Amino acid sequence: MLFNSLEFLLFLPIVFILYWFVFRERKWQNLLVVVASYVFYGWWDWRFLLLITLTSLCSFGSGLLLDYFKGQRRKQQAVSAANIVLNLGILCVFKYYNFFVENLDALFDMMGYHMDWVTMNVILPVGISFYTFQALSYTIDVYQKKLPATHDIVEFFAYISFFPQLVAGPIERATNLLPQFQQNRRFDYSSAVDGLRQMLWGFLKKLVVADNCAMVVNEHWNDYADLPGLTLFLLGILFSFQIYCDFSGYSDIAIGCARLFGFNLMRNFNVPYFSRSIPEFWRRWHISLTTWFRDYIYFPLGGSRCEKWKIIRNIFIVWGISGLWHGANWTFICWGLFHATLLAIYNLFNINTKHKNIVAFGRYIPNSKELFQMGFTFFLAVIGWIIFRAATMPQAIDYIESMFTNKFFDSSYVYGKLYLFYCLLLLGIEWLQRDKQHALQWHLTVIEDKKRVQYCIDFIVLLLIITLGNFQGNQFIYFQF
Amino acid sequence: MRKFIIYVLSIIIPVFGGMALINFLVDPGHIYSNSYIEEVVEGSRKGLCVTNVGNMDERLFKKRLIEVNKGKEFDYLVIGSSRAMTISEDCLTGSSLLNLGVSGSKLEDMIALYQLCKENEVSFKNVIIGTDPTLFNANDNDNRWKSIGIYYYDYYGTEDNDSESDFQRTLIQNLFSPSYFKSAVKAIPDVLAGNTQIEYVRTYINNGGTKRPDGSIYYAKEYRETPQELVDANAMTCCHTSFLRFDSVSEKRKNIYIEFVETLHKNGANIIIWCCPYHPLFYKRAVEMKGFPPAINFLSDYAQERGFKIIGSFNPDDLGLSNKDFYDGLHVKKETVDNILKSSL
Repeated sequence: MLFNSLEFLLFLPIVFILYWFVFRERKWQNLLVVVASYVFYGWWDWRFLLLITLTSLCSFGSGLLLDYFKGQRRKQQAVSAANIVLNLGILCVFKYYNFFVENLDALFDMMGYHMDWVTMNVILPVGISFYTFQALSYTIDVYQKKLPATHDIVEFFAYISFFPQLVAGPIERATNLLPQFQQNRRFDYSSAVDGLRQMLWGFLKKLVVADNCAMVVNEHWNDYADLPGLTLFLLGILFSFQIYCDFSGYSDIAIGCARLFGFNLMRNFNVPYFSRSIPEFWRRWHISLTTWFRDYIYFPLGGSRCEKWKIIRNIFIVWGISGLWHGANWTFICWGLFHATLLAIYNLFNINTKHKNIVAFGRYIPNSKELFQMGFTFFLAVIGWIIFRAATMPQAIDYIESMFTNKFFDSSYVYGKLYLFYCLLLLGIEWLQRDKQHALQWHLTVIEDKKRVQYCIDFIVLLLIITLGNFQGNQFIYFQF
Repeated sequence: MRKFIIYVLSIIIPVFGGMALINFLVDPGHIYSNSYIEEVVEGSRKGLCVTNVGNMDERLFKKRLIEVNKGKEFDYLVIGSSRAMTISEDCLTGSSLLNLGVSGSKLEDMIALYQLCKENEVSFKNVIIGTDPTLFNANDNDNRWKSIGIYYYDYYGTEDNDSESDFQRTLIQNLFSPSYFKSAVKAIPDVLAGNTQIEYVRTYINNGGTKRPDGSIYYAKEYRETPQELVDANAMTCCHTSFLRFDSVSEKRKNIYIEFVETLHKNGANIIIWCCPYHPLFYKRAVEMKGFPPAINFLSDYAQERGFKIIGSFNPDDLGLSNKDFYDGLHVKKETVDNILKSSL
């Protein structure tokens, strides 16, 4: 079920009413969350439920076994290793099998051997990478004693399948989300209203900016050979906003929706396009995934507390895997490696840990240095997104080459000017609100009739969504990952 | 909790209620009132052109056009999409013509309109079938034809169980449709200024879009005079949106087409297949779509095998056309259409 669908518009109030008015006890509420989440997920294809059930059962079982083998390190190692292999195995079969087979086939062909590999005709279950990583985080955290294993299967299933963040994150850690299923929830008016506002902002980003930009990008992307360089760059910018508003919009809706049910999810985006360097960009973009890779892969590999060459190696390993996580295509791997290269350069110059605070803190306008840094970081991000968006690597290279070799400008070929204006407007609002959780969190201290003004803002935002939004029911980009 | 629910409702009810009210009152597609179509049809009845015509359900308009022409005989009947809608009596000397083309026409539209002709005893000697390759696109599920769907089912003698309920559902959905709301908001200034009133005129060359008494159309001045750079830019890139993942040809649609054309032929009509050319830049991209070449091949093989006359060509080079002969990627200028048809009929 898509957030931007009529079904969800009916589904959400029904679940909300049942959750707060009918199933008032925690255990029943957890059960309702599981049932609602399975309906939400099964709406795409009921067969997907088999896979998520299997993943949940395996991880729940491994938690119980880890508890059972308390004090027996070797057995615990074996259990967690088996669970990791199983979960990653499922992910690999469904997501990467054909990719590896096709590439091996090409490799053997190049060497003069012809192999008859069998490819599979399977559909990729939406959000499989998200819930697999969430399940893995539980087993690893239990193994590392950061969290006791749960013995309540309902709350565990609710943790894995919690519908607001099931298909596109934020990828929650068991240490944050699972305890929330173990506590009683109380309805809090201000938190719910704030959640609703965050949802509204997410819908605005998705329907008004992302889907409108998508329309222009999809229509013109493949014509790169004939389009002027500036148009190609503008399309790259539009895609950068499309992917940002699509994915962060989803996260905002998910976080806001969870708050309606009394849950706090982690922040997933923190105004990434105001970053002054690529390392800062990655501290602000898809935070739940980057911190996942940091905690479960980068740190165990030695992180930054080792020799320089090992740090660089670790960066390339993590970003290669991160690229592959995004999809079974060389473009994603190259995109990951492109960012690895940039991060490695920043690391070599020891400037990777700079810029941890918000840009121009306490000021309305950034200084020229900050402006240049933000512009340059954004330019690098756009180049990365072009690689990410391309269907193949040759196409990505051709596209970037055409940006510099085609005629530079032709006024007839400037597409999506209006949507570019939306993007700038969005940036402006986010700039003003960059120290808040989301852009509709106004602290109207100077205005006396605060409630009425906030009501008007909410009203206007909803009206803007309806009048400017694109309602063709577009999928969220990150579902495919 | 009560406070929260009141807060949510206090936002949702005025927004959605207001949207429904504006959609109903402004009604930019004239779907909630029958009188608009009647006013346009009245022009045809009087033998006058109707200009400043806004959006409306073209299928229902063509249905009424057939009904007012009940019992008449025409030399030529035109069916097809908007690419056939500019074919008018100007193309023929001294012959009568009825143009039943509708935007985004599907085979279902053609069949339903033919059935309507049969039921209203509208007869014709020749039928010009505007056949677009997209008629055979397996991925095109446009269902605008459902507003005259009952006649499609009548043609096959089967009962129509959903057209009416689909139509009613569309009316209700449109009350809460954001896209309809957008059109309504855009139309408000014109509605308030009274600019949406249609006019009956003698000539088809006007500033507004014009419907001619024979059912053909003539585009608004603004559209006719689109700068060439914009026409070319549009033509270059609208292929993907116009052709909706045209990656395969539907065998089922091919069979429906053959059966329908054979029925027309069997009933005494001389078959003429109109292959309306595409803008050169559009055509260049269209041939790259997997489904496009097989659809063209099927059409020419079938016409050749059955000895049906083909007029025009999807490839503009075959007819010596240039970018200047087009209003956009899909639509040829009226004068060019006239020239092609005059030299072939």
